[in-house]
Amino acid sequence: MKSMTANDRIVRTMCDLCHCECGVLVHVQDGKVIKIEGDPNCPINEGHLCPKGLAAIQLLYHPDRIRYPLKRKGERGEGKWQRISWDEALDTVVIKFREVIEKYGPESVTYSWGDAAYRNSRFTKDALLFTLNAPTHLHSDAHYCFHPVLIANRLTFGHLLTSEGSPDYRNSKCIMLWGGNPVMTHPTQGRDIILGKTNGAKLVVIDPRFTEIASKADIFLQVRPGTDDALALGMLNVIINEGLYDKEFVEKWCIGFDQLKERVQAYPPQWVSKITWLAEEEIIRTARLFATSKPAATHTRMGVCMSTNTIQTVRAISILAAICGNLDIKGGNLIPNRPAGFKTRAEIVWKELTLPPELENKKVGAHEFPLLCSSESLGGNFCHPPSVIHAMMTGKPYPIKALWVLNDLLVCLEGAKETKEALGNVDFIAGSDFFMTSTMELCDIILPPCTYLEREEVVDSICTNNVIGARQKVIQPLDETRDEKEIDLEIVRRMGLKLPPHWQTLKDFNEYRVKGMGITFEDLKEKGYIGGPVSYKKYEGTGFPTPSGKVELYSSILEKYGYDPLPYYQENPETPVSTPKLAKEYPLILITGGRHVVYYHSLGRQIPWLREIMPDPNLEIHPETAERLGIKNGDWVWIEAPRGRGRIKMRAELTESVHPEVVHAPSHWWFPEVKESHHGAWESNINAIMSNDPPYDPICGATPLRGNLCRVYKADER
Amino acid sequence: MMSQKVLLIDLDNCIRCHACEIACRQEHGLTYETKSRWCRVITIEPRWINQELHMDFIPMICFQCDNPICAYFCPVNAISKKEEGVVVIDEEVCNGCKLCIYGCPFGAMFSNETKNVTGKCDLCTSRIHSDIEPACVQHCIGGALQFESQKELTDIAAGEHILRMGMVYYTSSKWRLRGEKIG
Repeated sequence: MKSMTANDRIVRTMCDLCHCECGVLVHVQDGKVIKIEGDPNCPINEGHLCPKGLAAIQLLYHPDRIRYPLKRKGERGEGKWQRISWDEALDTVVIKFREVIEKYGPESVTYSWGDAAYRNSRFTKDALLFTLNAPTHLHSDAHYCFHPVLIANRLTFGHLLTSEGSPDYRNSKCIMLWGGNPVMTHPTQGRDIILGKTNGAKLVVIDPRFTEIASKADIFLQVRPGTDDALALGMLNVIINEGLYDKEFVEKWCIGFDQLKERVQAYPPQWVSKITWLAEEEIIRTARLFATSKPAATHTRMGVCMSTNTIQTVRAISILAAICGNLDIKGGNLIPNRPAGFKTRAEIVWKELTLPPELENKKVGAHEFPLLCSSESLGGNFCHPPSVIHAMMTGKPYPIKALWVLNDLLVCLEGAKETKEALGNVDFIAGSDFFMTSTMELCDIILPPCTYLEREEVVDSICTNNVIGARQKVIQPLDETRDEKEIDLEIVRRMGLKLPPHWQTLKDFNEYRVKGMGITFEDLKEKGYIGGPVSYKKYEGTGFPTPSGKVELYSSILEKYGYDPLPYYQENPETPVSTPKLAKEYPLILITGGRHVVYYHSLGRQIPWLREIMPDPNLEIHPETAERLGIKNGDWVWIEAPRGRGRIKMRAELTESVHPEVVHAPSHWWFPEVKESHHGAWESNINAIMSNDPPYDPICGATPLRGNLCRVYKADER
Repeated sequence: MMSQKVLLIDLDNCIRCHACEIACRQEHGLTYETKSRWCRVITIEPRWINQELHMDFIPMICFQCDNPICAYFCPVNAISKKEEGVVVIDEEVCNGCKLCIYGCPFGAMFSNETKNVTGKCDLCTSRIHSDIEPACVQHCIGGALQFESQKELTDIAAGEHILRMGMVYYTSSKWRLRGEKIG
């Protein structure tokens, strides 16, 4: 490395390659980024940085990055493109959107969103739909992932409390991780858990897979896939019947305890043991440890959010946290507390950019899943994604004819083959992505975005509940790439639409978010990071933002909508228990979607440093099962699922991390090195054999994707 | 001159996040083509011990051996152990013969085909000369890697079982507790 010259700079900014949004120091030499390191002064990551963040240079300067607006030549998927000007690209989008709106109405225009790189354009994309009076909003994971937790938590406490950012791991005496591996998904949280453990916390991990964080656990419960609801109810049974709950908190702050007590009598640990494959004494020991270690911090993640009983499962776990008195206490689950006067993401998106009820209630899925997507939504104003795909195919409840796609929808959403067919019915597709993916190949126009290193904005990371910070532009956007937010605002302008008066430009918008704090965006850039005050038991002044002002063990909202107000256990629709005949043909239980730290959803497989760490899609299979099937470590194997169309191939990884009856398939696999226009999206993409048809969770519309049946057999080479 | 600092690795805190590996590659400009994993995390695969599953992760870098085998193998005397303990390859002298790669039993040496020389971890000598900890240590998410003076290490290690490999000191609560059950 050359020595520093006058042209060399170090710029402080914030990574955006996952939800942690860590502080980074970017070294620039002669206008080129030469090194990215963690910022020791950032309270989120304290100097460390994960592989994705450390390899961002290889994203920024990747030779395959799309650097100019493109127009498709020939048929969709033929892979023929022509470089065009931004004017032509933007005008085409405006003309096509207008055509669709005139013919079908504004609800026929939507955008699809899902990867981190576009998180900050959520505001401007929503603003575009808002100004169009368009309610359709395809967030590809609205029905699972984070949003069911949001709904279940808000039904129970009014706040989001069991997602990342809220559990106060460092100060906890007992950490309970349910269906998640934060080391891989939210590395800063992984660090906090290890620090909590170093400070003396006991660690409980509940997961069908023996993951990185499970290997650090004091208690690891290898639960049968999809029976987390039974386990949580069994733990509630022990804690309530043995009187181990926080009586004062329950008395003062909870409603429905008697009904809950009655309900959990149906779930004695002996019965739960049979359902979950766990020893009775392990269930009892875990329940006692959790209830008697105070403070305890609880986290729920995607493992419990992809079943037909998602909301009731997360509700049962939320109730565990509540009745043991762990809400908003040091070392428990903290109520978010951004700096006073700061405009949060939720305030802007859920209040300012929400349409009038009659339009919100036109969202696809509003009738079936009102708590996910109507004017009464508790889950973030999205549509129900499988129903949007079905609407594209059938035209019901209304046709969807224009799409702006920001993620690799074919790889990220279950039912990939259906999604591809659905996109065939969409008249106009604009796309924004760094690379040519199978989804981008189906677009008519591509609008190339810039990376986080080439733009600036206010950041409120969801991996911390009280810090905000500034993302600063390190270098000018490469070639003709543009800030996705600028592209949105330009479309709004060219369509002659009116943005909210207080933010006509991105500069206005950044100022608007911090103005209430009595500072400017420049001040925030100068300071880098600002934290809200740490305080506890904030509910004592305000109550909980639920209809009763209390923690609702018995949910009045669920009752109002005709759902069961109390959590219950329900066997998933396709398991050896519910479909024993089918299980003879498909004898293995398939769990999907475990993440790897080097990738974020479908992002990162073309980054050399990252791909070398995890080069192949590995199917985790128990050595005994593999032996029975004649499968050796490293063999390519076929995977087939009863409701899926066709089959996919993965590479067998023989490991005792899974039960002999369970296999685990990672998600989001595609092969950028495959140059044909599908880029390998049909070879190893687990979503290609997952169905997007019902049954769904009745409340949030989650599809059962973890714990279904499958069969596995040896394949020839890839 | 830097003080005598060594690498302390607490195996309890290694969470296989691979941050050390990528931080190392970025710091030393190790591109994909050279396949140089100077720093890497190896996995002791899941196994059952007394009805419990166990899995361990071990960050591996060049130990900077007390009596470096690689130097013994080098026919042109390109490898030397410096006063502060780091084992260094002189790129001007190295002829890329790979004998040291053959000799090192820990796989810590890597051929850089582009430059036709061998490369290995030098504990980020250029950083520690400026009093900055090695890149792997700075980026270690679980805090497993620490850069400690031998004096501090002696204090930390008091009464604990430590496995020393050259300038790398491994520790684990398993050894401290000698199998005493937790939880």
